[in-house]
Amino acid sequence: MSDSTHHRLSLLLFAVTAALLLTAWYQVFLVVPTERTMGVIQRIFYIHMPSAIVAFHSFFVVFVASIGYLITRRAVWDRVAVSAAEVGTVFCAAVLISGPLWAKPVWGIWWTWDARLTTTLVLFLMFVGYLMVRRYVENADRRAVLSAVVGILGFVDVPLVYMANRWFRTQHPQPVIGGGEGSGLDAQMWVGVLWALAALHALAVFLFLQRYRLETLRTELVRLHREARV
Amino acid sequence: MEIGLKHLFYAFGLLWVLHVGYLLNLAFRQKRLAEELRALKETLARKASD
Repeated sequence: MSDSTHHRLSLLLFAVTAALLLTAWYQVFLVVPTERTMGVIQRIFYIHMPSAIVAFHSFFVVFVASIGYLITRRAVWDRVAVSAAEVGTVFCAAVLISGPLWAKPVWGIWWTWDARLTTTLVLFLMFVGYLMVRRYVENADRRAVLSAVVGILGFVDVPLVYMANRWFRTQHPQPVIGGGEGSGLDAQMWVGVLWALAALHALAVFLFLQRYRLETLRTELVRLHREARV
Repeated sequence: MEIGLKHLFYAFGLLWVLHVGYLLNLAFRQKRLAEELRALKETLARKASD
């Protein structure tokens, strides 16, 4: 992608993301009803759950790109994987920050080692490990192979996080979406969820594009350094 | 301030800082790499013309 195409695409995505974020937070703070038992604090849900979904989707991209790299050995897959991994880790951090801030006033504790919370922390640490592999392995080919393996193994935890509060009794509430009989959301709350999902996905795509650009510049720099030495 | 409101404010505030901080970090890293790339290209062009 040329510099000007990247610049134009970035501007467009930035405008779309800003518009979606403004609409989402307008819905979340001024339109959706306040939940009866938890009160105003339940509105953290509109950033907590969509952040988790965005992290899952980012790690799925890492999984697909890592398999793509191991099969084809094309550098573009490696660039996609590392970009998605970094963005996914940021959104996973968002889940781990917003969760305890919601838990304290509702459960009376910041953290507990239940299945959902623990598997989420493990997921975050797996991808921090992935980023550390990227940083500390010098050889580019070995770095790409090792991080692809870590990326695939890391993604294995995503279904475990998703299923944790379905398989085990947890302090974390049972799922409100896709949780079977007795679960579900008020129709107006759904509107807030969908806007927040759209806004955070747009933000993730925008951040991914910037991170991918960074990786392209790095590749170009390495190539020129190699040429300069020859 | 109601306790729930305080935590809600902290959650949205911290996540705002996290995302904006990450974006600024990306912009800073991009700028540094672009400058390094430009300098290297200039050096290579000078070498080629010598």
